[in-house]
Amino acid sequence: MDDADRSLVERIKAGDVAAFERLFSRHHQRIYRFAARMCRHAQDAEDVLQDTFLAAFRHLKTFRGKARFSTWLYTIAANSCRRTRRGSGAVAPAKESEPDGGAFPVDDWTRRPDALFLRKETRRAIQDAVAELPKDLRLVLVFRDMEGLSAEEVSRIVGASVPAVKSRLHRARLFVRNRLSRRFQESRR
Amino acid sequence: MKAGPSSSLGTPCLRRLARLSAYIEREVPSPARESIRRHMAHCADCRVVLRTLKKTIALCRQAPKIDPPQAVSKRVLAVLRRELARCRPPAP
Ligand SMILES: [Zn+2]
Repeated sequence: MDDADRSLVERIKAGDVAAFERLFSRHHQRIYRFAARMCRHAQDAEDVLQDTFLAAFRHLKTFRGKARFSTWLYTIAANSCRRTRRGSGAVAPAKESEPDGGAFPVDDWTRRPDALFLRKETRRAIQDAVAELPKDLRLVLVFRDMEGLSAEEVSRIVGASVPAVKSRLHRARLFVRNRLSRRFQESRR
Repeated sequence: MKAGPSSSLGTPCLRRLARLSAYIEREVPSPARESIRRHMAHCADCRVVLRTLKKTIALCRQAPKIDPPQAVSKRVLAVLRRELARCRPPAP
């Protein structure tokens, strides 16, 4: 793990509790960002942020430093998301076996003007699609395609094999793609 | 083969779909990769799926980052400070 994180953790374990504030300032943005994408509701994201750092402090002695500190925090945050109102089920949870009801629209919306993709409605459409993903798929898509973590790191966080992570990611991407395809078809009519 | 605006993907193409993310990330080994590429050359529908899937990934990557409002960081830090003051340091 990062040397700065390691020395902070050692200081805290040795009794310098105030050093935990430094860990907070180093990592709270990424945890909030992740939580905001997972939960969508600002209050839930704040709850996840708070739960994550309180739990991290209380269980710091169990952190052995094998993984990066951020990976460990993400693991706590991912578990904390389950306890939020919206974190476990999405707005309208889709069936995982057939996340989009089997329909597979083929419409090339990629050639549409760039302005369309910058619009607020398009961004909201992406957020909506992500929010509707079953949690297992949502976690992986948020970590891989939004937060930019590696498949190996996500596999450690979610406790699944790398091939399982890749397969979930693919299903999540197809689901979001199908939602966007439908949205753009409708917006053209 | 020509895709209309509301057409849906056929079954043989749906089966190839499973490897599309791996294909995009260049993780499909060579003989299979060539086979997908050959299919793409002849199948307009699959080319559309490939393009839209790539665009979807790009849009997710470009999604705006949501930073915590200052008030949130302050509130959580205040809760954390109370906890730090209250708790004995974790045992080494
Ligand atoms: Zn095809």
